[in-house]
Amino acid sequence: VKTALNAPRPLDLVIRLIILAYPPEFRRRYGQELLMLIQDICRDSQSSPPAWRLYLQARALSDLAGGAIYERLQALLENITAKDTSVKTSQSPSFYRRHRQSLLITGAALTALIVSSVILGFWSYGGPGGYAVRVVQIGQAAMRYEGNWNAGWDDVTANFVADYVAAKYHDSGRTDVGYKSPHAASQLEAATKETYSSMEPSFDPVLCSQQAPTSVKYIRERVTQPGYASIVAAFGYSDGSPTNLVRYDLDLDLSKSKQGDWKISQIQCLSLDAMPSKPYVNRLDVPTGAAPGTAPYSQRNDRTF
Amino acid sequence: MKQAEADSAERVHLGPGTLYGTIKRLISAGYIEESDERPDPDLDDQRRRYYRITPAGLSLLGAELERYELALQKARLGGVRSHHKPRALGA
Repeated sequence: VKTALNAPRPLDLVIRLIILAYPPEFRRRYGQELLMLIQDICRDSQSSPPAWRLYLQARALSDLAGGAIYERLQALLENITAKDTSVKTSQSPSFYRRHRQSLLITGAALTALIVSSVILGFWSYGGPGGYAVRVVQIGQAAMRYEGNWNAGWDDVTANFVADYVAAKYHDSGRTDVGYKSPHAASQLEAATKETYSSMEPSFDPVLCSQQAPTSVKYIRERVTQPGYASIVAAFGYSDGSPTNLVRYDLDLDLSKSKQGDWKISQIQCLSLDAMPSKPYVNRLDVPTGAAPGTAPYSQRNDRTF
Repeated sequence: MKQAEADSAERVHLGPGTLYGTIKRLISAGYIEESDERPDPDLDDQRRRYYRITPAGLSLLGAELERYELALQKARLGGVRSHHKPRALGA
């Protein structure tokens, strides 16, 4: 069979192995068509973002594998219940030898199901569809530093801030996370890199502070116009005493890239004393469904470091 | 598969295994058959197969639609209304 799958080699191998698991009669009749259909799915998914492509392929493969088990079991049942004795082989000594492949595949599938249910919590994700979603979630987590393409602008901000604080203050003391982040737009990368090269190493040009923040709350989240958003990250700096909490705010501007993901395009430090009473008066506010002055997502992403 | 997704407002996702299992059963039951009609050879792949509905399949489809229609009529006479707003199909 001549097939040039538009799929990476390991995926191509998995597809062929799953099709091999179908009963021979089914494979002879529909194997070629199944292969071509998967080829179409892979080709169509090439233009999708990586996590969505992974989801589409995981969904197609889980359905293909489910179909193989179903067809095997049905072929077995048809054989056992067949009234035509010339077809029926279940009473013959060679029955188990003839259907050894079906029994082995079914046994392997059931074992895989039980093992995966233990490892990935299969049943808590509601069957094969949920299982595929779980696979995508794991893939997305693994791709975090390669770009969180489908996150909303509020989540992009929260990821950036969490990564930045963790790397700069609690992990390795890295100072390049500001411009090497997948969430930073090219103009922010360039500006931050330039600032780093001209500033004293002890000062942080992103957080405008030399001290590690202890908490962050997100306020004034809003879409300023379609494709553009703004959010204020209010950092708390505490020495442990609740009365000695200093607040310092960052104004982050985000824009949607051509690929559809949100990128942080500008970060400005805002001193509370220097903040004008109506800092957003010149912006065109597009309602996000939340009541005026409220932040729809802030509580979800607020955290203590 | 794409048609099923679009027609069901993306509620039904028909996978390749489900699709060909269904095709096999519909052929066995005589409701569809392989078609000799093919599109323009320039747009076609010779390995691809095409299927069409048989008179028996059309008859069954008509009976099913009639059954659904009756069920809907009864439900509406009983005052049952959909709680779901219709979803717009994607462009």
